[in-house]
Amino acid sequence: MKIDRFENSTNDRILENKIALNITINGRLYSLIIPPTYRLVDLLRKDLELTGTKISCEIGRCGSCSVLMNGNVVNSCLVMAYQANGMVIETIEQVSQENLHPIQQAFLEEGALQCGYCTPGMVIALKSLLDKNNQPTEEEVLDYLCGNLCRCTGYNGILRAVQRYKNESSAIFDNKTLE
Amino acid sequence: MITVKNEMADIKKSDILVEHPRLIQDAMRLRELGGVFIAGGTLIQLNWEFGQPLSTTLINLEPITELKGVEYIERGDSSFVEIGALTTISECIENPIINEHAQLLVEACKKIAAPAVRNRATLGGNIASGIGDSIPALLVLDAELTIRIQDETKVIKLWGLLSLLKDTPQLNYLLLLIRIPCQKKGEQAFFKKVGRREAFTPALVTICAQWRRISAKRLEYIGIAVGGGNNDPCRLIVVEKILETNDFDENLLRSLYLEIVDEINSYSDPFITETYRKHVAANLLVAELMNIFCDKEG
Repeated sequence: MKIDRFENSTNDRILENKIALNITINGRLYSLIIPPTYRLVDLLRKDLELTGTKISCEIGRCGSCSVLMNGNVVNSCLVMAYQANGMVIETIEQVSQENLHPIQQAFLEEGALQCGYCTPGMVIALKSLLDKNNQPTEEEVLDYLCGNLCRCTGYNGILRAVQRYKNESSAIFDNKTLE
Repeated sequence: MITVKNEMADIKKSDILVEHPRLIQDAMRLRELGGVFIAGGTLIQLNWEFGQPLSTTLINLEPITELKGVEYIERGDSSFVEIGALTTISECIENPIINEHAQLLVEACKKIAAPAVRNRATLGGNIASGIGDSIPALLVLDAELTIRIQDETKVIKLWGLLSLLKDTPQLNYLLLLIRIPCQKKGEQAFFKKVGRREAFTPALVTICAQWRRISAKRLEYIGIAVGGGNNDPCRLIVVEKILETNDFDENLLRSLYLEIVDEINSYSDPFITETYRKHVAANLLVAELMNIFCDKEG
């Protein structure tokens, strides 16, 4: 796939100032020709139409645009194209490709979303945490979510969802141990 | 009338060239030609969004492998932790060597931004910003920096670089390495960041200290630093001296409060006055000093 949305520009310098970007997004390898400072969030939303990743503050404060880059949560508004070269990106679309992720299911069951705008970023941040440690303390959860802002639910629903996820994953672990 | 066109005003993000030097000398050459160093790039992008003029060329430091890695070094009776400038804030938090020998830096790094930003931002970038929350901790830890200026590699104390930058803010230098003396047995420390809300936010003020006690009422030494927000990070040398040369009592604490307010250099912005910031810092410090002397085990 080649994205050349800048070809019509009259500015020759812009036309020359492009890099070849090889990037794996949700398991698919893309080869793109784009300006080096083009933002990952714009690439995802405007060019690949992966609009599950939201955009809000654009300065890395709200966490709406969180994605996983090589397994680590990052703000896609703060990642430029050249910085994403050779990286593996997972967006919210990948997290729920076949079924809802257990943390998404827990969000639904605990009413952890209201307008839902912050939810993809919250889920991505929590997936990053829970992939490393599926029984985090409440303090660890709060610390991990400090860069994800929600102005609707007041966070209690989100914390209940994490608690439900923890209870259910420890129950699965206990059952496996008994077997 | 002759008008001078402001070229910077015409630069768009898509115009910016990014260079990828693999050697320090190539990075320095590009800097002399007018480029700007970039590591994680989190602060540069924040500044762009706040309307700071764009640079025509970014010098991406990530390909320079010499700027990476964390090592434990022993030299005679002394031991150090050496941290490459490109080490991310998250790596500083997780690294076992830093955790064992420079716990205060770990505490400071945990208060910098949020995990998603910490995965990109580097310790070198936090220091080079001149206002990063790691700076007060590194001042207290008496950190030394290895820097490149033109063709020379120099070792300079962090406080030395900060005062050099006050005189020559446009100094062309590249931060290579941060060296921290290992924390010794009996040393204790605290790090406090106060913002406008509990979640990640720029600091109103950041304070930290490291000390060793010789008796219930006397400290063998104490290092105290204040920074955060746009405060110029600094050590409170006068306050430290008073604490090291006097027995602790309530009268000392009262006089220290005034001394702290006097010694801090702060600033006002449309939301918070200089006086308020100074009093927040003084209140926090006095409360922590109370804790130090009331903690019999300390």
